[in-house]
Amino acid sequence: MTEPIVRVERLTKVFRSYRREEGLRAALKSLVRRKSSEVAAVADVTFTIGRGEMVGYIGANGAGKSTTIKMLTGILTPTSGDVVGNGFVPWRDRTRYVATIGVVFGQRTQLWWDIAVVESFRLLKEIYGLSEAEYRERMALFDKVLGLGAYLHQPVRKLSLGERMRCDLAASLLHRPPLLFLDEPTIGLDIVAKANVREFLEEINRQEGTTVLLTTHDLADIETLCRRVIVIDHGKLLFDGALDELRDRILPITSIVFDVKRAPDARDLEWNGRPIREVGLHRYRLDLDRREAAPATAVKEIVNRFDVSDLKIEEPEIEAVVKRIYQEGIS
Amino acid sequence: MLYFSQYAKARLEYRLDFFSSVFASFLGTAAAFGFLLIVFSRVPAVHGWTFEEMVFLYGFSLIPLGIFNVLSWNLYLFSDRYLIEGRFDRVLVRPVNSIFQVLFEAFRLESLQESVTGIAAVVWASRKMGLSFSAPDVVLFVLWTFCGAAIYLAIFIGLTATSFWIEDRIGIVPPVFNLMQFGRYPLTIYDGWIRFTLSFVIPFAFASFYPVVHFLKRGEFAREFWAVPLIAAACLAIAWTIWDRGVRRYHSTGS
Amino acid sequence: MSAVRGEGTPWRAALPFARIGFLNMLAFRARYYVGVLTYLFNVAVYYFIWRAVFRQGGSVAGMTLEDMVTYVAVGWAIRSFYFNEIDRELGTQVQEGKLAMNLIRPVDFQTVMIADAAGQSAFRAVLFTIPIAIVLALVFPLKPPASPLAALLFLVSATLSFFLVAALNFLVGLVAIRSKSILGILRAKYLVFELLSGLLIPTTLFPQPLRSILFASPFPHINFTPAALYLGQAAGTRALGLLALQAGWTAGLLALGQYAWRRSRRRITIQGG
Repeated sequence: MTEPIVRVERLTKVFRSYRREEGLRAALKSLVRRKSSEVAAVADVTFTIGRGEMVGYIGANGAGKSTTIKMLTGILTPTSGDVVGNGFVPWRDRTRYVATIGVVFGQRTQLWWDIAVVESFRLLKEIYGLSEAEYRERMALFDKVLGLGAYLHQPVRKLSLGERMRCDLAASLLHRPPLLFLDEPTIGLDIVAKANVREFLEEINRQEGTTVLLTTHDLADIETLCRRVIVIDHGKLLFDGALDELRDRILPITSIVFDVKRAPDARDLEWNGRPIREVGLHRYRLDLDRREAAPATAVKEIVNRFDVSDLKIEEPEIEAVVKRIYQEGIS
Repeated sequence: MLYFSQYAKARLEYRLDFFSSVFASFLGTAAAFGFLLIVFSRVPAVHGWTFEEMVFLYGFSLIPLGIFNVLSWNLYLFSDRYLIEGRFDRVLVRPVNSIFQVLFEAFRLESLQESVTGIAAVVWASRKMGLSFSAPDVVLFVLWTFCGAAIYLAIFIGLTATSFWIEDRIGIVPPVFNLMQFGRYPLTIYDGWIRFTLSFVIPFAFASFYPVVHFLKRGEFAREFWAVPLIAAACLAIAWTIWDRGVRRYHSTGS
Repeated sequence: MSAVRGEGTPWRAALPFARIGFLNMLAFRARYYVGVLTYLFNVAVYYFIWRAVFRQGGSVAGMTLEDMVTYVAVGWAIRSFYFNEIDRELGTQVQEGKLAMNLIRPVDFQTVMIADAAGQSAFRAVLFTIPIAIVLALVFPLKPPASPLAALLFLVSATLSFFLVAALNFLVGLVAIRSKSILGILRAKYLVFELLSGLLIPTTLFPQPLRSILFASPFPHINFTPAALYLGQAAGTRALGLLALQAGWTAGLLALGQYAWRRSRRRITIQGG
């Protein structure tokens, strides 16, 4: 692997929060003293990202995804640990660093709410010190790929969520940053808009080699865009590796579903210590642990043993994998 | 400057509304002069200050105040708009200094009315008193006005920055804003500890009273007059430091 | 179903709103200390100005320095009670598009707004006004009420001041929502009201014909009337006359607010505000 573009080492962020209690008496009491507690939103997280990678950063609500992104973008100063991105320490060299990155928060637009979109872009052109020619070229590209031209003269507040997201994406990439952070870029979008966003990101990654770190709740984003995922839960890093590897570790189950012409003998409904269950009319299923036996062996045995009319192999959905992680963690 | 034209553009769309807010703002200023007028309709002088001198002082204090008010709008709303609503994230991911962005993202152009009214009051009072100013005096006047605006801005930037520590929509700005009005009257009417506060703790007196005493040629407080640029620089430096530390402490809202 | 229309809603229905207003005020503690300090500063400025004015002794318009300082302190103390932000609240509701929500609530809008403000004022009376009054009495040389009767009339008048201000603010809010820069207008309103209400300077000190004009308006009843009653500047039938006038203005402006709200409600419904 080449020199990483982002290096995160033992990153930790502790928040102090104040509890607000119910009722009049408690409220009066809080005038004098408040109770506080400390929570580690991100604890001891370490990873690196190589140039040109697209990495999915996933976890349940409140797992620490946004907090991590905010530290990587220089918004938050960590309690401890190191981050180097594009050769800068984000919170220390903030102004210089953010000139080299792009950031999109799906929940909140980065554009100026009340003015026409094109005015926001003009302003960004000045902020990032782009020449007129560069600016024109960029806008032409965005118009071609994202179809921005159609609503460039409307104020942001009048755009639909999908249109707004396209504008936000374009705004974050105006200055050709080599590094792009996306926090929930598809949240609230309809299927078509989601597909648009994904296509655009793929395109940019291929054409310009932009490195992308994205958090998302929509695992289809990850499946289409990222070969690598990082899973975080309760602030701790649970997994960092290829998507397939994650699947193997968490749910190494392959299901073989098959239809039979003739009712099988009850004694045959077991293989390698695992039951074969009836799941419908003449339909049976074997759930197989890939670590114990290869699916191919099982298929051969099933075809031998039964009078099979139809057979298919089902891999677990990534959705189910992640759900399992949130519920049980990674052992 | 681009921020400015951006805002001006948005504002002129509401031109009629703009004039009405200028008028409203002017009414507020007029009310303050009304107070002076009524007090002096009953007495010839207050603590050795004539009506004209008072008008000069009040008018002068309005000039930097107007400049400050044009820029200060977002400082009042900072905690609410930027910290609680979470707009500050956006500010931080842009390669421009954060305080600069906050100050220049909203303007209250109508407050320039205060500077204009202030200048008019100063001119009127000077004529009435037969005061004449040399060219260097005028230069000093302009420079000291900007120092005054810098002092106001620095103090309120410093105070606004405290909302990085104190989570509240209002913060500690209002009482200090009220303290500002002490600077519009002769410092000598106050007790010692207030004079001390206004000179060395929250140095509003350097933005209005000390310059005015010099321009009125009353021959007092010469040392304080020449210290004005130093005080302004010191205030800015302190404000800058507090703001910078606040930004480091910033914890963004949301998950 | 008449309650749904909002006509003649009993105040009972408004009480939960008052409670929420009260709790909201407690939510941020810094506000509390800040508030007390703000009032102390405001009284201090005028104390020093009047002290400078009265330096040679004597009296202005029949008031001694002690009278004047008491007038100013009483004025600010009751302001801490009658103060409310109904106008601003209206403005934010329009900006955030929440006004429509109030159209579907089964309670009269003006009643809700004033009840909410009353909750806050009840809070202020206990947690601001009384501590502020104590602090002011300790810091500045103040006079007690002129007589027990004067004290009683003062309390009645101060309560009326709340409703008068609430009625005025509701009207100001309705006017201001047509403008895009509500906050600027409201800021100017404070400065103008402070002068006209007699908070900064007793209305009797205004030169003629301004004084007569003011006394024909509702403004002096916000502040001058209760403070004058406290000092015993008006007694007997004259005092009762002042109170009646204050009550009359309050009732009239509340009614005007109802009328104006009904008119702008129609406009809001049409525009989908």
